[in-house]
Amino acid sequence: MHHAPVHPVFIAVLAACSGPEGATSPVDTGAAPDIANHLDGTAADDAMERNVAETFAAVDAAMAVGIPDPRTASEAALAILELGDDGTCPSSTLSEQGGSFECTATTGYAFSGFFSLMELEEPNGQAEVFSADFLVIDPAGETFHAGGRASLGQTTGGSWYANLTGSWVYPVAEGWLEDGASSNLTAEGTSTGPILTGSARWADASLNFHQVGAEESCGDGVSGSLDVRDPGGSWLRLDLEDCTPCGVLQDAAGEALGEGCLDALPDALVALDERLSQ
Amino acid sequence: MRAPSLAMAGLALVGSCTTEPPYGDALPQAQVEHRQDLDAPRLLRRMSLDLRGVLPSVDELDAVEADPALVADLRDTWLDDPLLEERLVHLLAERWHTRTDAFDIEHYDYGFEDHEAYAWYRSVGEEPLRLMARVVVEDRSWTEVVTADTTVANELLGAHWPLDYPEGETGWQEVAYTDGRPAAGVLATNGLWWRYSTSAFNQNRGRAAAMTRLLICEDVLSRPVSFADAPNLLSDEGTAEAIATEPACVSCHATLEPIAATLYGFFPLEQYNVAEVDTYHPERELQGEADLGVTRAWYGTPVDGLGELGQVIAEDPRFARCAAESFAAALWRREVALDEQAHIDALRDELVLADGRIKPLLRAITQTPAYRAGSLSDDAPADLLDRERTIRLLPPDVLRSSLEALTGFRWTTGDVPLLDEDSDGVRILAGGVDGEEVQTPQEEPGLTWALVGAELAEGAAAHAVETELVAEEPGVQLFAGLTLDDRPGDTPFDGTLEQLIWQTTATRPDAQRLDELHQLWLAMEADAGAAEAWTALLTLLLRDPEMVTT
Repeated sequence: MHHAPVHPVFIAVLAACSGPEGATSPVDTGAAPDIANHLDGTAADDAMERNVAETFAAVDAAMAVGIPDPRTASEAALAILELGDDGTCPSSTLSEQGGSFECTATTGYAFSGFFSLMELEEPNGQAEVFSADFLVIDPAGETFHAGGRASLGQTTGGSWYANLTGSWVYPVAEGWLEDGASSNLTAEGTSTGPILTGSARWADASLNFHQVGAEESCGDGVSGSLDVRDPGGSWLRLDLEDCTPCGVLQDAAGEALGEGCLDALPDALVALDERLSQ
Repeated sequence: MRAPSLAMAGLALVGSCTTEPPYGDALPQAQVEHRQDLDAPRLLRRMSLDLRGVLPSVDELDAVEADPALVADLRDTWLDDPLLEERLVHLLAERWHTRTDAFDIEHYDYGFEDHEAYAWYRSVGEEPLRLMARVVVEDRSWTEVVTADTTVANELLGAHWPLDYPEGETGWQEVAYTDGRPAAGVLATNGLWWRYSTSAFNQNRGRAAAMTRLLICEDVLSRPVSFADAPNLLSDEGTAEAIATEPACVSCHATLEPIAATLYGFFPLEQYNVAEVDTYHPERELQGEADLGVTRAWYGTPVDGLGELGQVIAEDPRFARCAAESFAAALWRREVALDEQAHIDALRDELVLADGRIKPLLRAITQTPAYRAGSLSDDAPADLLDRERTIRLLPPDVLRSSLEALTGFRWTTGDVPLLDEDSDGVRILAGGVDGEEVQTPQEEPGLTWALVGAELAEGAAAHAVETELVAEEPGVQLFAGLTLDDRPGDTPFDGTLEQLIWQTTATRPDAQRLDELHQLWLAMEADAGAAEAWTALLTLLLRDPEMVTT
């Protein structure tokens, strides 16, 4: 059983009663070693190096799966809603603009929840907003969970913007939707590709993006910063340098932990651009 | 990870490293001398009901009647009784308010049928309570309530939430979440944050306020605030500006916002979506600082997240003191008065000296004059007469558990215990706390309380008589040795009646009382037979004021 062994107030007070020995009692944090817990010595350096490499690899693995995007979410959601009984389940009143439903179709799909699909006229363009709070259980027992909004917009200037919020998962899907994503991510299309802002968790990576993408001044390169949550729960910062997907990983105090590259990032951005600029 | 800090702990313990808590010394002398303790059997009864939720046995009552010093021994035994854990769940629920009948996520969102709703909602609401109760009964430090890397869950929660609940097992077990949430005890439980939910505009502020109330006994919502000079509070923008700039607002929000910012892993982007609400969102942890425009902190001490927040709270001197105060209030069945603060300090010291273990604190509270008080002298000060609860109503959970143990009666509709729920049941009507509409236990008798007590007593009496005397099944042996042929004056009859009164009230009946009950039985027997007569008699005993109070 996992008992947290830290009793700060009471340890401290015991020390006051029992003499100086108690005051120097080590405190076992109980936390697994992570790269934000700095150690001394060569072994520690090796461990740190290994952990830095693992952190880059984990983020890269997520990039290789594909960055969560609203088009994938809304298309998959609308597609599964088509797998009921025509005109009766998910709902006899369901329209292309949405509705609520609670039924099991003869096809074996069970539907519960609602969605809406809205076309919005905005000052600088048009947007399509898909809102969902539903689950669909397919005949194999797999569940499509949809909870959030998937927005796609085109500006009058010809660029696009996209926003995916909430939680989306369907284990039999491909790409990021297979393991699912929790997202509050915005992507903005530019002449050189998308720029990402916001947070997302998918493929075991929890990330915050700060203007990550194809900034014009970088040409085909990438720029921006990412916050990466390590397995111990600490947040690390990666500033991409010199228009490359590489940089120095730093802890919250700004201390450099090691260098690395997100080799899959450029291709992930290209793939995102291709999906969202259609 | 933070190291223990003597400066933070700063508990002014100089001179307090003693094994004897100065309870009497810490109280104004006038309050000590105006209280009279319950006699030993009644005190034992109060302790048994408070710590175990059941009446003491006849043997236990006999023992302390012969030797009052045995009260302490039995109390200490009961602190290790398995029944303590269940009792603590209910005692803690009166203050933590998580045993509600509904949450934003409904039972059908998980595919449960209506008849399964009660079990599901109780499972959710009891999660944080069970963790706290487990910490207490296993003699672990109370700090684990905000630092543990585990929770306590049953098979329902284990099947639907991201927990490493062992497959194929059942019951409440200590398990861990698997979704990356920090180690923060109850602060990292779904059950707590489902009860204290938030919204896009509230942004965890209500949760932060709940934390300060529950963990350090600072209720920001009780502070007097004037909005007379505040700008427009009808719009989101106006309110946001006021929170940041108006002194009346800032006085609380300067504290709340930095705490709220630590809770964004639990912040749902869709308030009513299962996946958004039952899973932790580590990627949102940094969002709070950006959204609220503050640095994450606990009363000015910066923290790097919820995990460290729990550590800092554990170091806060107010945390241990609040534990002492809240457990005292729970067992005194009233709020702690201002002039009792030194007394609470003494109890806090007891907790501290016990390495944060709650059982020694409970033991100490049962030694206080306020706990043991059975009456007040006629010349007691008015404030003491006003606040002291020398007679305490049994809360609904104790009514339920004590009568079930005594008679075998379970008052239910379907799978729902009527005294434990308010959609179909009567928990509030019986004086209980639902955690939403009613947040403190009823202190004085009332009409619905009396009606519920009458119905319950009648049901329990009828069940016991039908089972043991009519069907002649073993039951719980309430009427052992008695038959329906026995009449007043017969040894089995008189012995049973005297024992029932002794066990239910811890009071020996005098001859007049016995005679009155004999006459009642005889009148009923003549009218409706012996079974009905025993049902009427037992009903009377089970709704006796000395039975339904301590």
